[in-house]
Amino acid sequence: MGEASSTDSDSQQAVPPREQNGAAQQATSLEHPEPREQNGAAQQATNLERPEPAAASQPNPAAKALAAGPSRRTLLRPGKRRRTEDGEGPSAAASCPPHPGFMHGICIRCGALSTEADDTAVAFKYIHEGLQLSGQEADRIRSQHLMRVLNSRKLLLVLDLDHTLLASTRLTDVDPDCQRKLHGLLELEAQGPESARRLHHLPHMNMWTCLRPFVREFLEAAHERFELQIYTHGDQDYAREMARILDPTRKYFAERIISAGDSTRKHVKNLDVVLGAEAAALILDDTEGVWPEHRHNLILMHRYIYFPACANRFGIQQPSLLQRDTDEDPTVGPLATVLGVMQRTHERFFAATDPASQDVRSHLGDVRREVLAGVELVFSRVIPLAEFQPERNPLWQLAVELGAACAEAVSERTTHVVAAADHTSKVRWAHKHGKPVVSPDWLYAASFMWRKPDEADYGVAAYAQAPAPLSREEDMAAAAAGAGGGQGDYPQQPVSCEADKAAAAAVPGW
Amino acid sequence: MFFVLELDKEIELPPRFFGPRLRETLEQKLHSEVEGTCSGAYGFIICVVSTESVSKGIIREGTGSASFNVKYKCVVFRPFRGEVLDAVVTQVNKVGFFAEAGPLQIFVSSHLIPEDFELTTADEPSFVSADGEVRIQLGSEVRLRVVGTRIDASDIFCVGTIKEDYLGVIGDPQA
Repeated sequence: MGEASSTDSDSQQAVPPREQNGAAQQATSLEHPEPREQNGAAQQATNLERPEPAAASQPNPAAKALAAGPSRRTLLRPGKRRRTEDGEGPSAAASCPPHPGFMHGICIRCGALSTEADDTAVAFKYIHEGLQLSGQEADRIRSQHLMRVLNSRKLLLVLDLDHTLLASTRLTDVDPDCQRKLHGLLELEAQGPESARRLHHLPHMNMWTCLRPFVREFLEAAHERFELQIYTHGDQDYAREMARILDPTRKYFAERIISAGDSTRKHVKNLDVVLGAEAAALILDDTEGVWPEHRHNLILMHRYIYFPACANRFGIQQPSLLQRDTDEDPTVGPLATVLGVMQRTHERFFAATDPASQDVRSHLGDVRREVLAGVELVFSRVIPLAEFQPERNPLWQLAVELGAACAEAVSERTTHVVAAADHTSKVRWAHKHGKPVVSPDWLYAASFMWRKPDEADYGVAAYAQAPAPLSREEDMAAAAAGAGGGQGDYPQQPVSCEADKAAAAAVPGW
Repeated sequence: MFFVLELDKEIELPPRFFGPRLRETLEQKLHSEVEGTCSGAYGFIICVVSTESVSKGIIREGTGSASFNVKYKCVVFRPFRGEVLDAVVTQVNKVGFFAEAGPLQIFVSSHLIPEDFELTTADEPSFVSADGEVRIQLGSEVRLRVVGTRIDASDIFCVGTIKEDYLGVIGDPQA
């Protein structure tokens, strides 16, 4: 370095000694390798002092290995490699084309440059911006994942962020009153241990973030039995920042963070970008509509509405948790509840010995059917009379999924009447026979709480006066807008509409 | 592979640097402008070895800055197909792993990792050999062969293999 006067003839004369010198130095740099980043490389180049012309610069690998010393050679174990190379194993059979995938247009197996686009290819941008895998390759990795699941006894768990594990809001969406409250809470938490901090003020992201109570314990417990993966509609910076808060040691998620733009279709989440077997994947999300193809993998979470802006977005009339100066109970709250459900599903999955029945979808369904087992429902003023097939009504289906039997008319087997209005003939019958009358919210609450809720909390009179919740489309739109603490590109438009009560269903006791 | 090349570069200096330390400033500016860049034609410019010649400055009308044509010798790093490189693993995932050799990023897919290596995701994702002795994880040093390169105008990307003799892990992560 810095030898400005060296000329070409000079360097040619000096080649033999310098080659030795160069090789030795390369070896020393191997003995003390440093993490090589941009400047590391510069340093390596400086070690070479006067780099040789092309032919001399690259000693053959064997010589390099010798120079590196005996300890390195044992690690390389050439014998072992040779056996796998010579054996006409599956590797010899599998060859390009078809190319399994491309990295920046280079085939990941044969190194050829891509020539034409592959229709089945799916981009895996969250792994690397240039990575594309063919459908077959993704399936192959998924089937490998299933094998690994069976060996390691760890299922895949796909986690949503917003309103599931945490809540975020933009600084500008917080009014001065709440802001004072938040700063007070922040100071209070600053006195406690670092690990117990839930509220985070992120001025660089222009955001307040509050972790759901019990989330750290939840992740720790889930980590034992599940491989965790984040899948959010927030943008990448947001997703990484939240992952850093949830998982500072990168123990749970590593690189498995899928954010907006990684999905194959806009505003819809799909397991096709998750390299895991569908039969071994559970999903935790607060919006059912974004998983159109994977409803049976989904555990629907009750929304965590901590900030007032979240409540507004989903059209919830009740004040948010922050405004009420309260929060979910960590021991019996939603996360603790679903953790129990996940663990039961996990146990059933691995208790099954028949490989055909090792499917989380059926086991999750079984767990769900236990919730209202032994209950027989009759609906009143819930399903329109004109409906030709009442069993196709979403509420009817939900009740069946929860294990309840449904009937069109009352009988002695009827245990509950689900009514949207008072003083119907079925309701009067129920009062006469001492059967509980509950509002449809009771069913939703059962689906969130994974047990039979207390009937007394779900009176019909209060239900009939409550405003109508968002429709499914609006609910999805609101969820998309809320992703990333309100950075979504959906217009913010919470207008109330009927149907789909699930989003706003209040669950007393949480 | 590393080469010493003679390249040239137009450097523009504002008038406040016209003085006794002009040449020094020019060299500083040259270092900061070219070192660490990548050109598709030559590869990554690792460091400037020497400045060979500096042309007479031409004053630009309007700004008063002078532009100099500087000829310099530099070390460039350009990967070739078939070349063997030592690299540090930067990420392990289900598809394979990424490694860095200085400024160059290389991807090794699971097809090009010997079959006896298996992915484990128990804690940190890593590829572990059947006997459990060799582990490819974050920070491992590997020796790999480049099987494909893509050279764009301002970036180079490689795909590599460790499924050959004398290739594989050569060092574990530094504590």
